[in-house]
Amino acid sequence: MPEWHEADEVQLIEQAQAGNAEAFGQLYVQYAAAVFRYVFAHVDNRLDAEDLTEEVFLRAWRSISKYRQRDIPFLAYMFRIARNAVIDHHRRSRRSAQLVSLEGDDHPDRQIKDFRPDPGDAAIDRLERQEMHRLLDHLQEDYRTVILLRFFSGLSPEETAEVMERSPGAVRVLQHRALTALRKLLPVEGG
Amino acid sequence: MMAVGQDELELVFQACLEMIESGQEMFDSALSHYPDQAAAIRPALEALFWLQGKVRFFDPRPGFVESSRRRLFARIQQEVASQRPLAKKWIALLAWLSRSKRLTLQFILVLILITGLLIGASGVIVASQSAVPGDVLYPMKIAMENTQLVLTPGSVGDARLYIEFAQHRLLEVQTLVLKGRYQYILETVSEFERQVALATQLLKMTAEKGDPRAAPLATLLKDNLVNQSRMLAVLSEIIPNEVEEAFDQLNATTQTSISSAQDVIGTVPASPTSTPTSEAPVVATPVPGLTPTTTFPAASTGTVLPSPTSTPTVLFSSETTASPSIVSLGHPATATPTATRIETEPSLRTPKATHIPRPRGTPKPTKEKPPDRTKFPSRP
Repeated sequence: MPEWHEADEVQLIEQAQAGNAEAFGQLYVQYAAAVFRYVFAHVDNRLDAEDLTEEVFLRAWRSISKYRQRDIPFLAYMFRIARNAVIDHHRRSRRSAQLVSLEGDDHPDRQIKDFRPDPGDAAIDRLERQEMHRLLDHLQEDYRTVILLRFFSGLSPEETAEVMERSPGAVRVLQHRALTALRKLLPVEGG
Repeated sequence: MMAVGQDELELVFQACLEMIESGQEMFDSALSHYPDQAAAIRPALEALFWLQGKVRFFDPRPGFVESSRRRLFARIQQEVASQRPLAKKWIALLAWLSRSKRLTLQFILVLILITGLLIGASGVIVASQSAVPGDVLYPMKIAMENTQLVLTPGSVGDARLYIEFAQHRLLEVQTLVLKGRYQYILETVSEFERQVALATQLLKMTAEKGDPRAAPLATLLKDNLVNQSRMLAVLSEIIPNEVEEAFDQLNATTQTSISSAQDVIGTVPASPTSTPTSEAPVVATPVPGLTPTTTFPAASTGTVLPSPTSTPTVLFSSETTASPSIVSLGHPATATPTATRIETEPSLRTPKATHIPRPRGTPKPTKEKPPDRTKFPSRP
């Protein structure tokens, strides 16, 4: 993986703001995997996650001219868009009876899951993800979000704080509590 | 104390986390740095360790990033293309046209035609302003004047326009003489008489209402007429016999109108207090083209009646007398062009555009009733 410098990012963002789609494409290559993991943790279907990831970047392209680098790190800006896109996706999904709770009613018994086979996906992977979804669904919303942003997508505490609109200190406390809560859901080792 | 302990625990956990994430320490070795807090932070670190093993199940499939980058790039290009600026659309249109020479030629011809029409129309309007009777563009000049009259609100505005148009007619008469187009002089003179009479009537109406705008307009009319009468006097020396009568008529009307304008300038809005002593008849100032049907002696009213409704109504028939007969009405061909006041027996004269003089030093015998606008001839 090529080394990534902040100076590169600043330059690419400026070029993208000037309408350079190639520069935006490089930003996409840099951040697509992180966004994809975050999105995929919120949806059951890989194809939906792929579509949603592209949708996130398309939204970012449309609004990048309004983005100000001094206000928020670019990655945090991307994940704010991703978070909104996921919320919109679930609103649409509720109407089509494919509900994965992100906000509001998150009781597993009242959720309708999409268990259709994911084409091109190994069965073992599906089972692992289903287990992860089940555990995450038992966590409260801010715990789930901080775990996904910090440990799935690799955002720093500061970037996570920007996305969640909290202080970095609050994020550090939150991540510790979220992991402790998750540990309680995991099977006891050797048990 | 409890809060301090919790804060310390968060800091220790964060320190361990950074050591593990940076690869400096492994799970157990990181905990070994903080033996007192190890038991408290161990569950969180175990959960983190478990998570790190599961993240790969959420990785994108191989090749997804590159393929989706191409898809995204195509969608962006599509959006950019759909938001082309106007200039680019024109360029695209021209590019499309350039595929066919015939289409290009037709497009250019249409553009030239539209541009030419716009320029030509404005040029014709400007050129028509110097046209005289007999010119092709003269009807357009008259049409423009009529349009101005329609669009101008109020009698003061109309009076101003009639003064301006009467001036045009006088200038046209001069041009016609200089060009030798004598056949159009008579009709131009008739039109001048009509317009100057209307201007005078409107000015009188305005003055009777006490409108201060009447005096400057009357001054304008008078000055125009005085200036033009000098030129007419010069031209009267070179005109042929066939238009002498028309010129006499023109001179008489000019002088009468100067006098009328002077009356308006000197009009005092308040009613005169003295009783007129003149027995001279008052003849309603006629509008050329209309024949006054009533004449009356000023003395018959006894006093000046301020209310127009109490004065005998002056009616104008729509029957036109304009035309050569006007020239002959009470104006012998031998009449001196410079005669400004024509003494005449009222009973023997057909009312025409003349001013009947009053004895000097006597008050104006009566005020004429403002003409009924509805009786005016309709605008041409």
